[in-house]
Formats: sequence, structure tokens, C-alpha cells
Amino acid sequence: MKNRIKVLRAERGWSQAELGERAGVSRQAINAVETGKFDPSLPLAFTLADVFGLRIEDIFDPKG
Amino acid sequence: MTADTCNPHARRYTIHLAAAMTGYCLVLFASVWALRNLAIDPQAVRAVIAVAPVLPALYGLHAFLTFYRTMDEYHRQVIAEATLISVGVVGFLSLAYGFAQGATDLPQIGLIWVMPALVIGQGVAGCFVRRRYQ
Repeated sequence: MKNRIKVLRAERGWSQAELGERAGVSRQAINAVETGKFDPSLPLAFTLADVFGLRIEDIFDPKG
Repeated sequence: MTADTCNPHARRYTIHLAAAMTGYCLVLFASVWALRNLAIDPQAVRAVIAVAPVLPALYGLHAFLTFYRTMDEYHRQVIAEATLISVGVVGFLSLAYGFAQGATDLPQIGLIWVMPALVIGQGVAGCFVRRRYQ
């Protein structure tokens, strides 16, 4: 599933490890979600949306 | 089943796993020594002594399960897929070898090798599964 995490993270100047710390997951998990090779669970998607202060549909594109 | 030692859960797992492996080695040596040097007659008692090293090893499994529950969903998925692949490969190889053994004079392979094969298989499969998600 395509997502805008890399762009949103870069806008805030966060590293993958920093975003992982804010979301309560590992750097590897953030990397796997960013590349679109690992689809996060609904709770993790909500957490990521909350960390960025956005809605899930503003970050993830289910058609991607 | 490797662990990142910066993570406190991983550090705790490493300590408990080291304790389990130490216990396993000590009980194994004691068990082998007792079976070879003591006149233990009843077969049931010999079987209990022979099986005793499995108990500390089971503690290692408990430590791993506890650690697994602390992992994030990405790591849990990698471990689960790697374990499934390992179980599948070892299971089907055992089945295939069993069929071949029935038809030929291939040597017997002890069941004691199943567990090391599963652990090594899980480690190797984990490397491939991780690469798939990068």
C-alpha cells in the first residue's frame, strides 16, 4: 500500500528511528511500511496518523 | 532468534536465554554422566533422566515467547513467517527422507536433529524474510 510517510517524515526532519520511537515501533518497521512492502495494522496506522496529526486517508492510499 | 541488545526486552531475553542454555548444558552433562556411571535400572527412571535436559530448554522457549510478545508487529510477522518456512521445510524434508528411506538403504537420522534443524532453518529463513520487506 502506497503512503506518504517518507515525505511527511522528511518535512518534520525526523529519522526513521525517531518516528519509530514516537509510534512505539522499531526503525525496521518504519522502513518496511515506508517502502510499501509491509502493510501496518489498523492500530499502527492510527498511531502513525496521530503522530503526524493527520487522518489515515491523508497518509495511506489503499489504491496504491 | 537474535536480539538487539539496546532494547531492554532484548537484553532480558538474552539473559534468560543464556540462563536456559547454561541450564541445558549442565543438566545434559549431569544426565549423560548419570546414565553412563550410575547403575540406574528401571527403564522409566533412565528415560526421565535422559529427557531432563529438555526442561531448561523449554525455559528458553518460554523466554522467547515472552520476548516475541514484546516485539512490534513487523518483527512478529518476520519471526512468524520464518518459523512457518522452517517448520515446512524441515517437515517436508523429513517426510521425503522417510519415503526415500523406505525404498532404499539410506541411513537412519535420529530425531534429536529435528530441533537444531528447526532453529537453524528459522534463522536462515529469517534473513530471507527480512530482505523481502526491505
